[in-house]
Amino acid sequence: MKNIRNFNIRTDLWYETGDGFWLDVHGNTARIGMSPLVQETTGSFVAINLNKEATPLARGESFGSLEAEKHVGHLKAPVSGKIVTVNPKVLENPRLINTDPYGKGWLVEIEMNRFEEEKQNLLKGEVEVTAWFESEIAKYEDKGWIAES
Amino acid sequence: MIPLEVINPPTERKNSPDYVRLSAASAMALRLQSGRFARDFEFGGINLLLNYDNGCLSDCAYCGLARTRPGDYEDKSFIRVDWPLFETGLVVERLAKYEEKLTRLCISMVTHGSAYKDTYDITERICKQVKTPLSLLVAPPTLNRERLQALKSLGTDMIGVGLDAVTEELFFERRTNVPNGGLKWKNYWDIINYSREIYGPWKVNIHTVVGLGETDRDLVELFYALKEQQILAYLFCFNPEPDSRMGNYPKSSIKRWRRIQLVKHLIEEYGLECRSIHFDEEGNISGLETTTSRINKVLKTLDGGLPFMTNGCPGESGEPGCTRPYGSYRPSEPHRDFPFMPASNDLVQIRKEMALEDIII
Repeated sequence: MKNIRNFNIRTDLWYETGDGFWLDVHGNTARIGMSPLVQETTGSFVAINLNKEATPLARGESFGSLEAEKHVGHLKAPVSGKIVTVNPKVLENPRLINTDPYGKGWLVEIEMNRFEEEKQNLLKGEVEVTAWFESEIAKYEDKGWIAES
Repeated sequence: MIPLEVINPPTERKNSPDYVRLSAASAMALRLQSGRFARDFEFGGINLLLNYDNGCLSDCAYCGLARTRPGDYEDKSFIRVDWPLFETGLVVERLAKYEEKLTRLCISMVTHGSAYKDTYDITERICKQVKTPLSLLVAPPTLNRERLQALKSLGTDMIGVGLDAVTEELFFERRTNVPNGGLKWKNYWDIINYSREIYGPWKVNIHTVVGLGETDRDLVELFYALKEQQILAYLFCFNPEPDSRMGNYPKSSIKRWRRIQLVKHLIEEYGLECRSIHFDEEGNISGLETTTSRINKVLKTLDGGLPFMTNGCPGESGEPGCTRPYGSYRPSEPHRDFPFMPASNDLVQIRKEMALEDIII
């Protein structure tokens, strides 16, 4: 875990740079969750819908939706494949995404079918991930989405 | 003698005036809390709420802060969202820092013995450092004519009164005849009248909640009466607070809500006459006569969406000031009121929701 401007970021994971998902890849399965930066700047989550297990997905397709106090949005699949596991705890308590984004707040596990091709759209490596987070934080600060300490 | 160990030692009290709660949107605007809105727009209407360990002493059936609603006051949601607590000094500092972006400030009182003196104190602190217009949403049981005069002399320019229930009977049912209630209709109206006298025309507003059990006729009659007195009516949509006594009471339909928004706008801005509004036996709007070309035009254009924007105190130049985004609906639901001018696709949706053609005569 690396502290990047007050955000504790895991730099050993893959990241999708559009919506800020992390992917913990083991073989052809990826556990997917939301980065601490995106969860904090979206607000406290109050509701979540996730597609059912066995749902096939193409990269960019919606696999559910999330609602925070003042925000709502679709969750777009960072990779193609099919959902093999949905986190039941996060369905019961969406705030887990806020309190434990890398742990109990994970969203789904996807069995990937085009990872070799699609991984070029993802980011990995401490240097790359750190640089990307720093620029994202600066962007979010400019938009006024991050609290000032 | 060995001193006894303190059981349940007192925790630090974070009460007003040294602490104050902010709406989630306000905390975000002042960069005291991270977050963003579902749609991007300029937001500068800051709402502050007094905070006490023992909470609000009223027990209104529909309110998130009601005394008998389960939970600690500090953890209670109000209009369904959290209101985080901050040091008042820090809030005032941020108000000054972001003053250029702010359109309107409002301090909401609660029914509490210290509410007047604390509102006075916080108002004084704000007015010394910030020029953004400041409203007070007052708790009538804590006030009288002299106190209102004192609050005006500090620099507040508008008074809001949360009447909420629009008839005396409904007020009694929802706010007086409740376990720890006892609010008085007459007391509310005395304060409305004193406020009108002290603050002047169009400087006093009455919050009216749609969906507490009133009829459309009740609402329309009040809109006319308030217009006559040069008092503003602000619409709020009842939004059930989980665990409150009306937590399972249904929200009014979007069709009814939109029609009321439109009719109110026509009454206030286009002089729609009462005889042009038809009601059915239950008091619901059943027909609308289009008597003038101006009104006809509004029905065609929906006045660009103005009738469906949030009712709230204006900014310094008359622009929308207090806009309460997502205050009476969830971000996943249709906007009940818009904190910005509705876009053309919103107007298409609004027209569908209202089913206006069913009532035009």
